[in-house]
Amino acid sequence: MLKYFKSSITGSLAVIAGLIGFSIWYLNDAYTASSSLDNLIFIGPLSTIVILLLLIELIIILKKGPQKPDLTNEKKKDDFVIFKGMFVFAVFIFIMDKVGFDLATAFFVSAFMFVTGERRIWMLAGYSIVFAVVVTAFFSMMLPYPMETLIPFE
Amino acid sequence: MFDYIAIQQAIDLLTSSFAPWLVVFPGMIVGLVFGAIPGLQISMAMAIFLPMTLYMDFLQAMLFLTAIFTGGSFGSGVTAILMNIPGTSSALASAFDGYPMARQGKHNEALGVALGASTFGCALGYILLFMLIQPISLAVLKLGPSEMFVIILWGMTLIASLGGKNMIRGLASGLFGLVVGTIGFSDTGVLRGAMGLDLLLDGVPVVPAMMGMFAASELFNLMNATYLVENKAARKVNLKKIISGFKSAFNYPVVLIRGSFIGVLIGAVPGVGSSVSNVLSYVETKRHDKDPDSFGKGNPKGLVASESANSTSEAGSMATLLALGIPGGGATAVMLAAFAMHNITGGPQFIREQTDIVYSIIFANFGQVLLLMVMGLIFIPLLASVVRVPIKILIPSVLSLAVFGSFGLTGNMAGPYTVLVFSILGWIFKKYNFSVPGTVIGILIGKMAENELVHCLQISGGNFNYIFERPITLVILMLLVLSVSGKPLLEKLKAKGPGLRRRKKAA
Repeated sequence: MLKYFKSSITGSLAVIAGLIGFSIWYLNDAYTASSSLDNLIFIGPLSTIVILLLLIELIIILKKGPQKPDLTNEKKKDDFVIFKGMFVFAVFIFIMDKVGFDLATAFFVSAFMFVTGERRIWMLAGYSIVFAVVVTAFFSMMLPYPMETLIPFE
Repeated sequence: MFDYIAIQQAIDLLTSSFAPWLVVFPGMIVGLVFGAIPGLQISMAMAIFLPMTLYMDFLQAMLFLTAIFTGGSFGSGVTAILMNIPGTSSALASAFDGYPMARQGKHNEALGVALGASTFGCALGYILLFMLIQPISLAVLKLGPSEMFVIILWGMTLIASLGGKNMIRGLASGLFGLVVGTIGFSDTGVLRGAMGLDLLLDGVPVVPAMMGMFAASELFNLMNATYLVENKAARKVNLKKIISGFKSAFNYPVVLIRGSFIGVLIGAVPGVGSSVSNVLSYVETKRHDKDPDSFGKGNPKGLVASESANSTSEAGSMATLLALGIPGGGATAVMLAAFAMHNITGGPQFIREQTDIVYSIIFANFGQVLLLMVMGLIFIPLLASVVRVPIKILIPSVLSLAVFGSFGLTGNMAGPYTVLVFSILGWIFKKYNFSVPGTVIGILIGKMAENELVHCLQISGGNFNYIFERPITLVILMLLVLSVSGKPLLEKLKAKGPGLRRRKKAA
């Protein structure tokens, strides 16, 4: 079993399992909400076909067996940079409506540039603040919805 | 067929004063800018500038709004090509081949090709609108849910062809996208898959999901690069190459004409039209090509197919708006609001009594086509300079704009959360060879397909013979089957042909 975890197919298996799990859950949720034909005529067959296709793919992968992991140190480093970027992006989304769109954007642009190798202070601080202020001002004037901002643009 | 007196009056209206033309240039700039900024929408631009049309007469107002529409249709293709962010669902298929061309250093040519296809498409679309506005509007009235469903089904066949090397994963992703597209309240008032979240009551917001899966996931993969185009020489913005790309669009007349017809006919179908027409045009071009495997890897024909269809779908949706007073989508809904602001109701009476105004709008759009060509050639070098911006500045800037834009689309945090979730999902799908374009198409058309199917079921009362009472449905179904199976069948017959002849001779 351990050889599957260490192999290059672990990720594929996890994704397939996740998609099968979601499809089963969604089909059950739709059926629980209403078992009428109107509700299930589209979702029922579709979800079933998705589950079957993924099961076939699962069988094909398991038959092929575990392969040696394809991860060189360079690739691991690349993926780590991407995960850092995703984390920074996630933090940006979660804090947007709490600290203000402008402050969150300035943080995000600065942090993302830092993660991708930017070290010049005038870019990290200067560009991120100017960009955040300009973009937030533009959107708060254009959009009819209230936006939480530190600087009162309206 | 033509009201020659009205034609004369329309020409007089447009040439007697420069006033109608004053608004076309600013309208086109607004459209180009809004279309080219990731996350901003054409309908958003039209809605924001709608109050200004109160101070214009009706013709000026329509020219202003159609100029925004025309500029925005091309502008949204620009972000699809340069950054894999389709600005609207009508530019989705432009990203399939436009972005690979940009990554190969052919961004100048790609933008030129898009401009060429857009201008041709726009011109042909309005010529067809001029000749066929009455028949198109009569045909649209005859379309019901079964016809809409079969058109959407045709678009769904693209999911199968986008599977890439792994057909099973490709198909599963597309169908998974269809399932995700049905999350939220159904047309019959049943809530599915909302997980107790208020933000999902209306379903997954489509454009933010598209931006997340396509753009954000691709941008994350680019984090380890220094520029969008690594080769320094290839990063140069070159007007000669842009013009060469523009001319090369006309090397594919069959693709242009096919895309334009699909765009204007499918674009006239309310609700479905512009989103599906570019996808349909792409799938048909790929299917009929000698080298279908080259699509998705930077084949300019794919870009021509998509851009010609999405430009002509503007004319198609105008047919439904002018002749029936029915908006085809967000942009034409804003135009309908302009109608109301000027105390005008679209429909057969409007066409009968104000034919000169209708013709003026159509003729003015021919002028807009020329203006689009000129402005496009001026603005493209500026827009293409995006490839010279270092990735570490480009990615956070573009992602921020996309997030703001997604907030603007939904009016709440549903948009930004959707971009986040689907960007991670898109990255995972790409890494493990699931089809991102297939999933996006599925999300785009999932709800539409379910709604039309349920309407068919309700109207027919579950009686399958209902389909045989709908001749237009049968014709479209036949075209679909021919389109899917025609080429492989022909090839099989050709291969059997020499063998058959030999057996006949022997006998």
